[in-house]
Amino acid sequence: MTHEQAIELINQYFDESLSAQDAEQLKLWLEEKPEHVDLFARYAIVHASLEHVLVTRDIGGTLFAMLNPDHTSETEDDSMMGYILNEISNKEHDDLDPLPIEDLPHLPATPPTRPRRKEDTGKDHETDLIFRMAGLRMYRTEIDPARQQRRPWFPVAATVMIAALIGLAFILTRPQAQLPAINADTPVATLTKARDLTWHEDSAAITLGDSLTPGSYEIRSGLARLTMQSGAKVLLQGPCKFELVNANAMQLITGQLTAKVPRKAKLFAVNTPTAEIVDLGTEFGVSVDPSGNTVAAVFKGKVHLAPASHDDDESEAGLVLTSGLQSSVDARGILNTNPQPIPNDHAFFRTLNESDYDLQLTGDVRFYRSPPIDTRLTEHYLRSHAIVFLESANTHVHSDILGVGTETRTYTAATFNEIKNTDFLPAGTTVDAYMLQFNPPDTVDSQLLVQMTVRFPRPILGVISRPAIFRNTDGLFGHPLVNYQNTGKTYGVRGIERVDTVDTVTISPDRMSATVSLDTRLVDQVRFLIESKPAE
Amino acid sequence: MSENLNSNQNASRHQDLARLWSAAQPVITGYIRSLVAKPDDAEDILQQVAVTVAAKTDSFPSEPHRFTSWSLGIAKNKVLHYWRDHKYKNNLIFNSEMIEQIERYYASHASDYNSLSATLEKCIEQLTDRARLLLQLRYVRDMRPKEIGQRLGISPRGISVTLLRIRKALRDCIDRAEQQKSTP
Repeated sequence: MTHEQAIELINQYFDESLSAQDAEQLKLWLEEKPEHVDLFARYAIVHASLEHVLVTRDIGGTLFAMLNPDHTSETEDDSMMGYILNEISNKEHDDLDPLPIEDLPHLPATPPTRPRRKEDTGKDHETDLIFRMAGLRMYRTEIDPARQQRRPWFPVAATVMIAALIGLAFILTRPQAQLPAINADTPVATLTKARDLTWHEDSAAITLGDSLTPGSYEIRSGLARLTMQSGAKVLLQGPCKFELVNANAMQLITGQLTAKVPRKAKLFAVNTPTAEIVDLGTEFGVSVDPSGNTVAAVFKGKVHLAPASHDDDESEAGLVLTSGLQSSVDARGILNTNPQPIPNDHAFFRTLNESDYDLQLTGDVRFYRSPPIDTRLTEHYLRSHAIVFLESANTHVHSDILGVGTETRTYTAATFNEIKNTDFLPAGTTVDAYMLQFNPPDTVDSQLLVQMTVRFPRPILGVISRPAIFRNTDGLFGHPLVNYQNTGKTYGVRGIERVDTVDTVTISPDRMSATVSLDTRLVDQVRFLIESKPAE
Repeated sequence: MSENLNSNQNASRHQDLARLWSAAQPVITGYIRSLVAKPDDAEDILQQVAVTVAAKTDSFPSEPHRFTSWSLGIAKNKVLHYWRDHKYKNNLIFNSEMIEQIERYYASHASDYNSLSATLEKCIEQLTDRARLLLQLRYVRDMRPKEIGQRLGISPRGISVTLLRIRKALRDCIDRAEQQKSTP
């Protein structure tokens, strides 16, 4: 590969547009000589610094303001984007071009216009909020926060995190969602998706596609996705009680929800009896127990969490939670100012069916987002529950794998033994692998039965629960960080027990669910192979 | 009395940590972004580094250059872990030697990182308006060439090539500025 070709691949890597084949080429080239890695680093430092300079100095935004004097900060983000794209497409000449930058290819030609300088950009609520949040800029005085317009959280996120962790308070003026006037008859949300949804008898029975007006609702069981008129998508988990306030605000009285809030719906607000949560462009979860204890967990972006105000005291303290953290407001309305990492086994559903980890679990099982590093380490597990984790995704099977159960039936250790030379997962299949494991308590005095159902987002194509088949397929389907070789105190014995027929795995007729019963005497493992998500 | 003293000492350590982190953060961010192309993943790793750094209020180096190198070491471990963790679904480009070599490169440039940013800013000012707007779409709006190309009706490759030329031009501009500085 020539030097020029390598630089092109390096740039494609920076632009997240490197194909698998080119990635391999780049890898080989980097491995050739240390000088190649240095050349990569020379370009990498430009790439990384570009983001730092452009975001923190907001060169592009200032330029945009200069070029577009008619823009006001209330303008929709999309229209600003449209303007920039238009500007790139339509400008024929630039009078500043000392560097050898060629024009974009195939641009339509229109006469250039020299823009007037913008007099006053004004400040919208968001900018104002960012400005106030940058009150925590005690460490970043060199940057004018009013100039940080887009993705300001990336460079400040870790500063925010440090500030939070070392206990420096962020005293923010509570951000107030800008809410339209409430009209009880105006729909504020639509039920856009549901799964196994049943409403409480006192609640109006809403079906898919129905609009919801402001008012109180109660879900008895299942999942409901509401799309708010503002664009925010709220996934409610039954049982829960909630009240829709308007197109961009709701009250969660008890239960759990997760919300994905697009930019246009920023400042989506969820109030609970004890807390107020205001989104700052994010995905987050809220849970409220019957006494009002509120937990807010941020999966992406950030939210502002504050105790509910019972008067008009605007100076109520709150904190900004960044991604991966959660915090709480207790039943008395006391805010926990020390955010904690969101635990692996948190119970929030984040999607209905799109995601790899979108498993519906019932019974004695918990989903682990991060796998246990060593399957021997029982402290990783909940003693009374099995765990399930994603081992690998999109694994292509090149040759038939014998001993994989592919039928919709009930399997025991005996039946897994029977099929070891007859049933197989055929070559050409592409699967995601999930491991379900139960490490029972150390004491085996009491024999208990744990039972669970796991519903997968896509059909189950195969199931493995024999030690030999595990060993043969760990390399193919196993998670690279997990040591599968020593499993629990029953060294080397994996799968469900052959002692009797208490342990069972039943694949449902539609292949979407597995019902598993395990006794608590020995460690149990079941590997599920499910159809991979089709490539987009 | 001694409790007050301890509390004051702690507050002072925290302030030192915050100050040092603030200075080191652009370098750490840059290092992570070099090795982790996805911005969200890079952000997560940066936060993990911050969490680890913040947990070490009793043991962080107080000299700025050493602090940055020390933080880069933490970042290197997080990046190594990331690549191992994502091995099964991503194309594995970097091996551990490369990740370490790039860490050393960043460590050796840590002291002039701010001046590099200032030079880069001046170089960006020399670009055409159009080139700067394209950079804004890529870096501030976080759009990939495919998305930009779709919106403009231009092939993604056309966008990629233009971004490549812009980066090359900026690299040359920085090199020239550094040469001028080193020439008396």
